Amino acid sequence: MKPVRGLVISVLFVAALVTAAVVGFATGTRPVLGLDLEGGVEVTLTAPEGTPPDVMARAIDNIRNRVDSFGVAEPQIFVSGVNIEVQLPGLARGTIEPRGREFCVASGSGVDLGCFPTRDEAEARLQETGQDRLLELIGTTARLEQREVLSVLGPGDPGFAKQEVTCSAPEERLTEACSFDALADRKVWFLDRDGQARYHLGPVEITGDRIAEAQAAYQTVSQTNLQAGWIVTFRLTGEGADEFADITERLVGKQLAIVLDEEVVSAPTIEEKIAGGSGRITGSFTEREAKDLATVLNAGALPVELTKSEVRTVSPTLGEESLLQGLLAGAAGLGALALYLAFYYRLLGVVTWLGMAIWAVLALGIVSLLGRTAGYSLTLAGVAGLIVSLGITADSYIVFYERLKDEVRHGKTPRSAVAPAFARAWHTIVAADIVTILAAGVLYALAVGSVRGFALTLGIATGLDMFVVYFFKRPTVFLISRSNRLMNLRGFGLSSGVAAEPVPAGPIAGGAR
Amino acid sequence: MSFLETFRGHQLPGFDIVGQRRRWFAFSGALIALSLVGVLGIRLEFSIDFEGGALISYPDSRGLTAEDVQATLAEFGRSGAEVQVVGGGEITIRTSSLNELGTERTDLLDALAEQAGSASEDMSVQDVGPTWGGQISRKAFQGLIIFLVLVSIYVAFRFEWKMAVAAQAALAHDLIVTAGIYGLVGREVTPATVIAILTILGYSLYDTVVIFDRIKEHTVSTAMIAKESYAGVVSISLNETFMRSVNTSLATLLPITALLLFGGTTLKDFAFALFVGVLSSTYSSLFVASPVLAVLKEREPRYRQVRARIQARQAAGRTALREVAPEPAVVDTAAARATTRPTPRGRPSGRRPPAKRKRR
Repeated sequence: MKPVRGLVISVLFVAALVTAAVVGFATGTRPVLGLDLEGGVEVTLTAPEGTPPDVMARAIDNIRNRVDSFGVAEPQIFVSGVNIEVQLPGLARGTIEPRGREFCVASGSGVDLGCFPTRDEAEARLQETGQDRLLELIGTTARLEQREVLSVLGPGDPGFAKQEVTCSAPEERLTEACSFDALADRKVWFLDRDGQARYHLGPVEITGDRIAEAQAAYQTVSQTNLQAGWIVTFRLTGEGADEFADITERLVGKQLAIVLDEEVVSAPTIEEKIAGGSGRITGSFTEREAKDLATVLNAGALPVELTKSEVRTVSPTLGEESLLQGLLAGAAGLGALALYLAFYYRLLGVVTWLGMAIWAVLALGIVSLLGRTAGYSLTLAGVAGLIVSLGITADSYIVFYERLKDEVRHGKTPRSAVAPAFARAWHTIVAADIVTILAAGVLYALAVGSVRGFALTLGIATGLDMFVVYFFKRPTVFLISRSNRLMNLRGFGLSSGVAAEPVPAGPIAGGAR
Repeated sequence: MSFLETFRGHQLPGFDIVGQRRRWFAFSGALIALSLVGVLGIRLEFSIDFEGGALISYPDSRGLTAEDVQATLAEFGRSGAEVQVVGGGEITIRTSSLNELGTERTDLLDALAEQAGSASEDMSVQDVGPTWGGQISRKAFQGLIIFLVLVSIYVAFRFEWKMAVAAQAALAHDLIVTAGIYGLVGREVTPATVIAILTILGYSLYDTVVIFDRIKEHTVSTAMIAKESYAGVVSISLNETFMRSVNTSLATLLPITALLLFGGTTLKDFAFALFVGVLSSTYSSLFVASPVLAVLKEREPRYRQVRARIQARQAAGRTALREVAPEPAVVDTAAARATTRPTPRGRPSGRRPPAKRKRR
């Protein structure tokens, strides 16, 4: 019996997949939870409208590098149009270690964040530093410029306290007068990265977009170099090389400040005219500092300002609550649906239970797998997508069963009705599911933030629905239809349709089934 | 008992939706008018996602009043904030964006947490720039347009362009009704609402496509149209898929109801919009899309001819002797046809003995 073997193989195939999903779940491949379910910080950055994709890609590299270099665990960065979404679920994943009577906090990257007398305080510190760090690093726009250093004031110098820093007040920063372009031709006072030294700087000599490539390198002691240490080498574009040669010729022996977002990163002294378009930046860099600087020089060369569109912090308790609500709603919805289907379709309803259980297990499996491999995290919107697609899945069964009833009503035996009913129902299911997948695809391609998570689960769930219908429901119903005993079982949903057409008048009506 | 029999699929419902279309169009029109009042007449309340600003929520273990919190906010120059103290010791503050506060942002949050006696990690903050909402809306609108174009092409290609038009009429109905009722109820418009509306787009079309698929199946051969006219075929298809529509909307509404009952605030708004949308979609696919399709198709000359022929035959059938007996005794309304049709041998209903359960 060839067709039967095909059907059995198909069911076994699905069973194997389900087993794999269950085993995977048992061994720890669970969905990665989004920050609204786990707690964490999310920042959405927006570039000016019309920023080309390659610039956005570079901006993301830049941000990823920064987040990595700041040592916060497992950032998730997504881009959609001109928006960059940075998620740090469970941001405070640093550690708290009891040390004597105190609780000491260390960040995810092992940086010591201080010790506190109570665990609560330590936890608060952990959370808050994570957030602050993120917001700080996200706040930097990555605009690089080089200016001549006119003078430097250290904390000990006279007049230090009185010297105002250009555009330092928060309300001032957002104004047109403080934009990079407006400041480019002015002399300015900027702070260094520690916020200590104040640099008086000339107008912008050259901006970061002239740098083609920068690299961190370790320089060993040699005859020309007396001190070993980390430096950054860079190569300029052709045009930039000419400009840079002029600038460095003019500034030999002076300091050229490298300014990142209105902060002086370093102010190396120009040792000689740099003609070849490549040069090096010395200083007492640590390895990380040198690498960071190289990163900034490489990625910072993007001519785009990013604004914080949305900052969202979700406390772990709220996240847990939302997760529970989502799970409860899902369970209640599934339960009510299962009851209704069993009530309406009897034994076929039970087939549906199995099918939907398989669907649910596989859907969770795919979401888990995506979390593992593609960094997808399940958010509240994603859960909503899954719950909504419950209805779509149920519909595939309803369409098929109603079709089956139709065929039987038209005089076919249940057994002979299955094949044409499935063929027609499959046609309908595909037509309708494609509409939903189109909707999900468009949403995913265009939307921002949580809408994408929703679209993804909706799309996956709908695709999966077609899969389960074809590889599980079809063979199962075909196989059941081969068994006379099952087909004629009193509780079998189909027979209600068998005797039904037309409705016999009078007393027969009651006994129709 | 006939309701029960219909529910159990023992008989077709026999609704004459196409024949009574004027009545249903009037009803749909009234619904749309009411909804437009909801959208245009009442000012929709938008969440901070659209307006920009900050939303801070955190637990309170000290039984603070809104005034206490206002006082703390005033220290940071935030006296205009909107403070809500929810019964279960939950405080919600809505104020302008905190982003430009810099380091003071942390100080403010710490001060609020300390005042309420909760850890600062228990605070949830959502801070949205003022242009963000415009972007969300624009993206949603773009998505809407692209989706409509794609689906129209798909439906026109897979079915026919008149079906695409009819489906879009139903879609427009659903969008307006959902947005209108949402506005009338006075719920806050959040990004979740936008997601819900976009989902309804998909669902509305999905639901319509299922019925159109049946209509297409019946119209592949001209035999049925010749007997019933196009509108008649639409009516039959409607009645045949009626229980599917009811069951599917029930199956979809059950999980949504669960969201509405057990979900958090965000999910509830989402679920409410979906609930209304799914109801509207089910209604519109039966009572808007299908009659509109019938009207559009009946204008085609060949279907007008078919209708004329059928009417002539009916007139002849009434006056002539019963020589044309095998022809079903068609009455004017589509309803009668609908109930008559499914017997393959063309017999009037109610005469055939119950089908045997074949054992083989």
